[in-house]
Amino acid sequence: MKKVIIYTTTWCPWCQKTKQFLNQINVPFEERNVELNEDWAKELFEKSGQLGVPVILIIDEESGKENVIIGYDPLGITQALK
Amino acid sequence: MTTIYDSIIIGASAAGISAAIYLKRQGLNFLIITKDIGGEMALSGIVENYPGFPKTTGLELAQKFEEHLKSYGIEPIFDEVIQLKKEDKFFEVITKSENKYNSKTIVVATGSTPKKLNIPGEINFFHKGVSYCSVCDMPLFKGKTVAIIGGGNSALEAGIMASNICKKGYIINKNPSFKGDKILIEEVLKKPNIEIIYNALTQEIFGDSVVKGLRYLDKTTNEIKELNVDGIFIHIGLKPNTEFIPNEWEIKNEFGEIIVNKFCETNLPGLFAAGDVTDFPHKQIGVAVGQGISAGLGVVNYLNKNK
Repeated sequence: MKKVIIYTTTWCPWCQKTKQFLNQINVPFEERNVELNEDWAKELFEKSGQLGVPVILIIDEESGKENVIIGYDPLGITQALK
Repeated sequence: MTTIYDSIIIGASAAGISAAIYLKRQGLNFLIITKDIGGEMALSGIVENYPGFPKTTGLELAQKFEEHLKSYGIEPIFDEVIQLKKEDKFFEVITKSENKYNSKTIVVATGSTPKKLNIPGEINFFHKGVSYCSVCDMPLFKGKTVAIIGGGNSALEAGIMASNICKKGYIINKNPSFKGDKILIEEVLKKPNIEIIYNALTQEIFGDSVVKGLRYLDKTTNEIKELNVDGIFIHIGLKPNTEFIPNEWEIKNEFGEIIVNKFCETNLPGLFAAGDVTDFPHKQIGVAVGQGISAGLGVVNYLNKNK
């Protein structure tokens, strides 16, 4: 099983497009809007080194391996979910 | 046998989709080839000046446009046009995924993308403090200091956003005044935590793992000055997406925009253009819709005359 976390901001169009894409391919995800929680903003930077959104974290729950996808990247998400 | 389409529309935002609706209603055999739906419009945050939608977002409008396309059964081909040729009467469109399509007419509706400053540090610090999307990334600089580079509406809107989120914002304008809407200029000038630096040319962005600041040339004193900031938002205008159009066709102006007449025709018979990619001065969603319709009807007239 893979867990999907998406770091977003409220008005970010690419975040909305990414969420739309995940819904289209029926992948459940947890949204962490970094505007609403400063710990999530820190976590975003620690995990990705990014000061930008969206960032998508795909975690393999068996191996614990984390895949970080930066930006709106349907192909990257699809490959990381395989 | 190769299919010769009546038309190929390149791009699927306000202009391309409007053209497509009109071509479909005329029963023409056409394609839309596009990288995405909505293009730069989908990134424009809140939209309050498109009739019928007192308050919407660029993304929401893009979704509405897509629904409208689908209601006519039009399915775009998601690909990028990298080359355009004209042999005899027909056009050849070559895409990134190495497909080739032929048509009698073309509607270029590829819009524009944000311009880059092309200064040291800009690429290295992208998403490490440098951003071209204030609505996306400004909230990550809550309580921090940012610089906004630009002198038009996008820079002013970013300044207003920064005044609400950040501790302090600088707007760095290379000119002695702003080019944007009066209502926005007045609002920015009222913000106590926004400082405007006029006649300033940004030279370099510096930092370590993230942005720490920038250096600019003060054109009044001819001195290089330094600002310590955590984030830099670049809003210096847009560049038309016309690289795939051969220069020898001589239909582009000095800015790379496609020169069109009021019917959205170019000097090359059969080639039309609409929206932000053209030399029409007002880069607005409503204008792009109107030009898309004009180009669509222009294609119909052209095909009727050249049967």
